[in-house]
Amino acid sequence: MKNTILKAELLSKTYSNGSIMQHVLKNLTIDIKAGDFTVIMGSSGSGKSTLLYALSGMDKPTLGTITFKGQEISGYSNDQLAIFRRKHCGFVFQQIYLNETMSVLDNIIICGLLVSRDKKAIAVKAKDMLLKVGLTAECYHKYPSQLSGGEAQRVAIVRALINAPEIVFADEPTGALNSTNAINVLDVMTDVNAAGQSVIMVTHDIKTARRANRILYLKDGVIIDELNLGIYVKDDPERHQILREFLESMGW
Amino acid sequence: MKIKGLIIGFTAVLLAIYGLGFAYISQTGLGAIDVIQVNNTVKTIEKQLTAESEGLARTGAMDGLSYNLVFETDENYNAAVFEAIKNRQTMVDLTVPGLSDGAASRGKVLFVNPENEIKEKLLALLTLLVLGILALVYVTLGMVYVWVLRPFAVMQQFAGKIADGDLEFRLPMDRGNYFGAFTESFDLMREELKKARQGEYLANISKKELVAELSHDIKTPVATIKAICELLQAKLGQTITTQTSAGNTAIKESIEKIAVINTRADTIDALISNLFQATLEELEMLKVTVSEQPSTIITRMFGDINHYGKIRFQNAIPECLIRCDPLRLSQVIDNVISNSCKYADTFIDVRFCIDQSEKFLAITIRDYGPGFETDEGPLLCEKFFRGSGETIQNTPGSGLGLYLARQFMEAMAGRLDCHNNNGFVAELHIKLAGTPKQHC
Repeated sequence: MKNTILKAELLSKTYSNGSIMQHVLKNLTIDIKAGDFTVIMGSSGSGKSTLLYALSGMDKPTLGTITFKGQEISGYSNDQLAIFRRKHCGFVFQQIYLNETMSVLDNIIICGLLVSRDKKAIAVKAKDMLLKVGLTAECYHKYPSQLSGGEAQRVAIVRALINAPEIVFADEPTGALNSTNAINVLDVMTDVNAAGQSVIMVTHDIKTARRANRILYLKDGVIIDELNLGIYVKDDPERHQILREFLESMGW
Repeated sequence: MKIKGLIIGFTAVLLAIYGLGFAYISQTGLGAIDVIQVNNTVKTIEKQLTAESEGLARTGAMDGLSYNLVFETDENYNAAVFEAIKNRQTMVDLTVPGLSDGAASRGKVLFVNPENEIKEKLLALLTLLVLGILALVYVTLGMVYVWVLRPFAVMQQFAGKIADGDLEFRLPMDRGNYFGAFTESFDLMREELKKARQGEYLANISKKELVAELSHDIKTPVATIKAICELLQAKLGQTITTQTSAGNTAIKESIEKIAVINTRADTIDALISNLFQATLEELEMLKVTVSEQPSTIITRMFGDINHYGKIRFQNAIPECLIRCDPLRLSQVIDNVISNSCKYADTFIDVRFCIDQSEKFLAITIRDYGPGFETDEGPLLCEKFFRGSGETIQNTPGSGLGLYLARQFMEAMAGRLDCHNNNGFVAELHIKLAGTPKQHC
C-alpha cells in the first residue's frame, strides 16, 4: 500500500476581475501516492495548470486545504512555500526557462546551491545526472542557445532533480519538442519515476499520458473521472487502447 | 358505435337476401322447352338435309331455338352427345334417307338449353340491384355523418377542452356546418369565459400588488419609529446623570417603555417583511439568482444576526464552493435563527458537514426549546401555518418564515429539513459546486 504524499481537500481556485469571479477549480479532492506517475488531462481552460501550480505551492488556493505528508501547506506564507518548494519539489516547464547567460552546468549548480553549499559535490552529481539523461561532457559548458530543444529540456529535468525532490511537477514538458526529442524526455521522466520519485504531469498528448500509471481527467474545474493503468510497459498496445477509450468516453 | 352497428347489420341482411336469391335462382328450373316447336324444327332440318344433301351448317337457330347437329359418322359424336346429356340439353334423333352414299344417315339435333343464359342474366341483375342499394345507403349515411353527427363530435371535444380550462381552443365554424348559429353561441360562451378568467387573474394580481406595495410602504414608517426610539433612548440616557434620583427613575421607566416600542416595531417589521416576500413570491417576482460562492460567506451571515451571542459554532465551516444566492441564503438563515430566538430563547448550536453522497454542505441549526408537535411536522413549511404549541401561539408571527425558507432553498437546488431532537432542529442542505468528498 503506497503512502499518500500529497493530498488536496475541497480545493477551489477563484480569479476575480472586478465583480466577475471565475472559479477555475471547484471543490477538488485528490490524493497523490508516493511513487505515482500521475497525469492530469483535460481540455484547454479546464484548470489543469492551475491545479498543478496549486498542488506544488507555486500558487495559493482560494479555498480548501493541501497537505504534504500530513502537514498542511495551504496556509503557508510565501516564504514558507518557497522553502517547501526548494526542499521537496522539482519543476519542469514547457518553456524550459534555463538561464541563457549561464552554461548548462552552472544552470544546474545554481539550483543545487539552494539546498547545499558544497559546489564540487553538486557539480559531480550534476555531471553524473547529465550523463544518465544522455548528455556528455561536450554539453557542460555550452549555453542553452547552443542546445536543441530536447537537450535543453533534459538539462531542465536534471536541474529539477538535482536536489532530489520527492515530487516532480511537469507542465507540458514535451509540448514544444519534436517527436524524437519528446520520446527522449519522456524516457527520462519514466526513469525518474521508476527510481521512486513521484511525478505529476500536465499534458494534452496521449503518448505522453500513457507513461503514467494514473490519469486524472479535468473538466470545468472538476475531476470527472480517473483511470488507473498500472506500471508503464513499453510497446503495450492494450494500454494505449484502454487509455484512448477512456479519453474518448471523457469527450476528449 | 351505434351507427357503425346499423351499417354492418344492414349490409349483412342485404348480403343474406342476395345469397338466398342466388341459391333460389340456381336451384329453380326455368321453363320447359316447347315439344311441338322442337319437332317442327327437327323435321325442317331433315327436309333441308334431304334437299341440300350436303353443305348444311352444323349449327343454327330456328324459331328462337338454337341447335347443333351431330352425326354418327362424326369422330366426336359420342363426346358431343355426352356433353349435351351433362348440360341437360334437349336431344332428338335425326334420320335422313338417301344421302350421297345411299344409306340412311343418322344423328342428333342438340338444342341449346336457354335456362343457364336466363339464370346468368337474373344473377347479374340481382347483383347490380344489391350493389346499387348498398351504395345508396352508404352515401346517405355518409352525408348524415358529415352534416349531422360530426359537428356534434366536434362540439363534444370542444366542451371537453373548455371543461379542462383550455379557453384558447376555438370551435371550428365553416359554411358546411349544419348547426352554424348553434355552434357559434358555444364559441361566444368560450370568449366570455376567457374574458372573465382574465379579469379574475388581473384582479388577483392587482390585489397582490396592492398588498406588496402596502407592505413596502409600512416598512418606512416602522423604520422611522425605530430610529426615533433609538434616538430617544440615546438622548434620555444622556440626561439620566443630570437629573435628581426621582427624575432618573422616571427617565429609566421611559427608556424601558421606548425599548418595548422598539421591540414591537421589530416584530412588525419582521411580519411585514415576510408578508412582502410571500406576496412577491406569489407574483413570481422573487428572483433567486444562483451562483458559485465560497462557503465562508455563511459565517458572515451568521455573524450578522448573532446580536445576542446565542449562536455557538460546533465546528469550523469547511472551506468549499457552494451554489447559492447569497441574499436568499441569508434570508433563510435569518428566518430559521429568528424562529429559534422567538420560540426557544436558548443557545443555538450550529454544525457544518459535507455530505459525501449527495454533494451538499449541510448546516444543522439546533435550539433547545419545546420544538413542535410531532404530528405538525409535515405542515411546518406550509404557507401561513403556525404550530399549536403554547409558546408559538403566544408569540406574534405570520407563519411565513419557514415557508419562504423552504421555497428559497429549493430554488437553490438545496433543501430544508426540520425535526425535533431535544428541541427544534433545522437542516439546510446547500448544493456544492463540483464533486467534493467527505469532510466530517
